[in-house]
Amino acid sequence: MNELLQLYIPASIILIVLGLYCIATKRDLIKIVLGIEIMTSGVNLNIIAMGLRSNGVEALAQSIALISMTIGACIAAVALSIIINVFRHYRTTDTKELRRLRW
Amino acid sequence: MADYLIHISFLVILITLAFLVIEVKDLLRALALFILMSSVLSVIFYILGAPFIAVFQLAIYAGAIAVLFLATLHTTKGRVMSENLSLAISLLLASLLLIIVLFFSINIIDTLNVFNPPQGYPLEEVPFFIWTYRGFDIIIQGFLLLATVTAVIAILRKKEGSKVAEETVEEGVKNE
Repeated sequence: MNELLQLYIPASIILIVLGLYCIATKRDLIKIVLGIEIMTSGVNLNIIAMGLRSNGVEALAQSIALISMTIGACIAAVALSIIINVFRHYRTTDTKELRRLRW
Repeated sequence: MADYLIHISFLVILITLAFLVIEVKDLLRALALFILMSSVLSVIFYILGAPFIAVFQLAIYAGAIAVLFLATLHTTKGRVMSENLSLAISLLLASLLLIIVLFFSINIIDTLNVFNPPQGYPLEEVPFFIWTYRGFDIIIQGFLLLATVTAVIAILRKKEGSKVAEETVEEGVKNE
């Protein structure tokens, strides 16, 4: 189990860093929300890896991962509705354009 | 050693797909790759011994969130489905094929007895644990979903009042 933990913790950290990289560097709002979702996936993988025991994954870790997934879905829903609202106002989802068009 | 290699190969596929999601220029292709990434993560959860989380990952991330992204793409980037219909259908078929291949690869691994997935807790134990010890979490999740629905409705509703105000301002400017 310890070997698997050593395998999964770096993988989840890589996923979180990839998500952060996407949020920091990409200009399209939809890409940024995809980056947030990749980060959430990394966090879920981390939670499940932390709950790994010799006889499977702990029920507590599974329930916390479930809550994390629900929160991730809620974040995506609200963020995408905000993107649609922004598009209605400015006719673009490019963050550079949005910065130029602010009032 | 063989099961270790299987874990490594799935993780390499996962990280490669995540990198491709970020770097692919076309948003529809990025979304299709995101669905594939979620499916691979679901398989990883399954082989780790968390079938409930695998099912939820597949339903929420590869299903619900992907549909929300597709609707947003359709609204913001024009009619993506009608323009790239063949591409979208081929990607959908490819992702379905990959899921089937991944599913059967687990079965092949089982039959070859290369890797025995951990037995894990009995399947009934997780819902029992959640209902018994994490009841408040379920209630909070319900409130969270309610708040999300309310927020989405509030954000997306047509603002009639502001339009009237803008019109009156424009009329005032014309009169001047």
